Amino acid sequence: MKIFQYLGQAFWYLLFIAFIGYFSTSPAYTFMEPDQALIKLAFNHAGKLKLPCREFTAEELAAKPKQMRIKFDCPRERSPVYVIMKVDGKPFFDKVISPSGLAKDLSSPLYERIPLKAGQYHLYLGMRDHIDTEGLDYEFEGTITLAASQILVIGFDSDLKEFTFE
Amino acid sequence: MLKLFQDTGHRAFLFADRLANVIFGPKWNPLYHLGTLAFFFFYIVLVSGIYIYIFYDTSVVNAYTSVEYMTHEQWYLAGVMRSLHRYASDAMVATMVLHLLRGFFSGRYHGARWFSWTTGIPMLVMVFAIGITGYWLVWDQLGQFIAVRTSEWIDWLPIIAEPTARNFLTNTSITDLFFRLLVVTHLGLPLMLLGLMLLHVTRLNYAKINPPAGLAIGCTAALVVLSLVKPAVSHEAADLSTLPTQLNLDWFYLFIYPLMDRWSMGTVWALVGGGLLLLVLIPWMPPKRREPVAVVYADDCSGCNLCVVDCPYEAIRLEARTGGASAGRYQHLPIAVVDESKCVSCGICTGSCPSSTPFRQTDEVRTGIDMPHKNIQDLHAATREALAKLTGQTKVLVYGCDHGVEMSKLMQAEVAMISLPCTGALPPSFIVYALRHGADGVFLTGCRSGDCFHRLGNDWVDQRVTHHRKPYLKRSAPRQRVRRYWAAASDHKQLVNEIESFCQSLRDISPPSVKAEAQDVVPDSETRG
Ligand code: HEM
Ligand code: SF4
Ligand code: SF4
Repeated sequence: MKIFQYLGQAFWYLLFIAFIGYFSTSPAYTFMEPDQALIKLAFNHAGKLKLPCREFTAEELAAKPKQMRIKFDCPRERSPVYVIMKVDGKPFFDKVISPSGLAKDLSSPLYERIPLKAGQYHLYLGMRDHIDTEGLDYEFEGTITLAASQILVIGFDSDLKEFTFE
Repeated sequence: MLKLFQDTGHRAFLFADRLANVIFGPKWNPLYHLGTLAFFFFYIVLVSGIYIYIFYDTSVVNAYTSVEYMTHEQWYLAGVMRSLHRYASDAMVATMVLHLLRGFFSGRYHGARWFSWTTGIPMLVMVFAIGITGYWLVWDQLGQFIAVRTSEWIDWLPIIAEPTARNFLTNTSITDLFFRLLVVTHLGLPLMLLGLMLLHVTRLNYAKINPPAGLAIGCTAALVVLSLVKPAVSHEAADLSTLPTQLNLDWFYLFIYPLMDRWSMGTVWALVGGGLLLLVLIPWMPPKRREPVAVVYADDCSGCNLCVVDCPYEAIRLEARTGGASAGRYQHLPIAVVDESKCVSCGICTGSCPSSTPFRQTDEVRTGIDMPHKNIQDLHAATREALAKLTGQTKVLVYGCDHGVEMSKLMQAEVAMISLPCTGALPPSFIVYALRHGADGVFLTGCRSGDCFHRLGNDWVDQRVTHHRKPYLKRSAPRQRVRRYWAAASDHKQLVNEIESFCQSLRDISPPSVKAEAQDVVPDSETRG
């Protein structure tokens, strides 16, 4: 009888480690197909100020307490940023990104995953960072090649005013 | 609906328990030790974790190679430790989840028991957080996948303006500082978890924290074998410019990541948030009126401390008596005081109290501590009534509990039944009383050994009957006329057979040696042992 108990225990432990051992790595999970690539469109660009500074009128100044009489009214609110991406001529992605901050006076952050099959593409990128602009403020057009499993990070350099590719 | 779900789950556990009881015996049954095993696996995780931390390099560029060194160069020790660290963590999740399910299915979370349940929930969250940060630290493709997807998941919440996922855009955007923060999290959370684990069992008297040695040795040996047969290995080194494709996920910890890919981040948040909320609400679903808690009767409490040591939920303490001379015959002795917020109304204290005896010169049966809704007078009346009902040739009185086999199913001419909230609530003097008042035998049953609904009730009964715990069952009660058989709700058939065999054995022996004519009053010294 005792021997059956020991055998039973051995079997129990075997099941236990088989269970732990198996599910600790299996079944394998396919996160991305091998021929997949990914564009990460990510930047943190501050839109231009929404309204220009203007001089206060005489009446407005008179209504203010003496020590607060500055000449110009400069609203801090920024414009939302608009981006558009076309792949092989077809619109692929576009978004209006509101400025962050309670007063909407900070930059507009973007982080977007755009999966594409590996291959060569004609890419068009455009951005508008002021609401009054008719067309787009910045553009990029060119051919890119995405290798299998490549992650291409497209950013925007706010100083140089151009799209970056990493 | 909920009830049906719980009953089904409960029956599944009872079925597995029976098998495990055959293989391991009730003392070593791993299914009765899920909480203690979770504790034990945590110790293995701690020890192995401290060892592998010695070799671990906390910088982004060297983390991966330092782990590779352990696995391939020092495979015989650091490698085994790494594997133990991984597998014991997995085993901890498995046992913790089973422990949660077991508690849920058997309904051990109502009323004052909410405390253990509720403290379990942050522990659950922490265990997952620790596991996930652990896989992140390896900084292989799996770590990269976790890093990126976790930050994208967090970014879904509208709390942080700057997306945290930007930290993982390129190989140069991740900083050592961030990595060290991760290491601190992975080391700090287990310490907090340990604190919570101790809190989790504070309201339990004699909480079982360590598994029996045999089980601990068996589990350790099994994990060492697994570590040698299938050592834990890493994926390729992380490279933020390359997409991970196939990943060998640890499904114990990382099952929510595939859900993020399949559904949306918002859905996964709703699932996690909703699931946790549901867990938090369970002790109050459906809202039940709490049963009245135990009440102490000052005139009959001698401050003997027996109920204090027996209460499974640490709900009783002794205090100095106030009230001076008016406090009755025990005025110089301390008195038991019940903490209402901890009492689960199991009645075990009444079973412990030496004042609980049906042999009284006064006409009313009294006790030092009692349940207002099912008091000792009711038990006395029920015992008398049951004895009067017995008409068969052999007369057996069965004391059982509300959580074992349903008592009404067992009634027959030779057998009468009384169900208590817990069999531990039966004062041993009632066994003597029944034998002296017409019963040929007294049969005690309740939840299976090792699985008492109120944790300790059946253990206390065993010990009282075998003279290992006060109040003792008097030696003058012939032991062949008292039988114990612990049976779960699903063990109806086995219980009937056991009662039948008891009746047969009573028929085989001579009439009771203790007769009803014997003196009705037992000296205090005898019941107190
Ligand atoms: C790190 C994971 C956990 C460990 C190590 C652990 C350990 C334990 C231990 C040792 C006990 C005492 C058992 C006894 O002596 O009767 C216990 C009781 C309990 N645990 Fe856990 N536990 C864990 C997680 C959880 C979780 C996640 C839940 C549910 C949400 C939970 C619910 C309970 C309940 C309700 C009890 C009390 C049972 C009773 O009143 O009889 N535990 N736990
Ligand atoms: S009924 Fe008695 S033994 Fe049970 S929890 Fe309350 S005080 Fe403790
Ligand atoms: S067991 Fe009875 S007599 Fe002893 S302390 Fe508790 S209530 Fe008082």
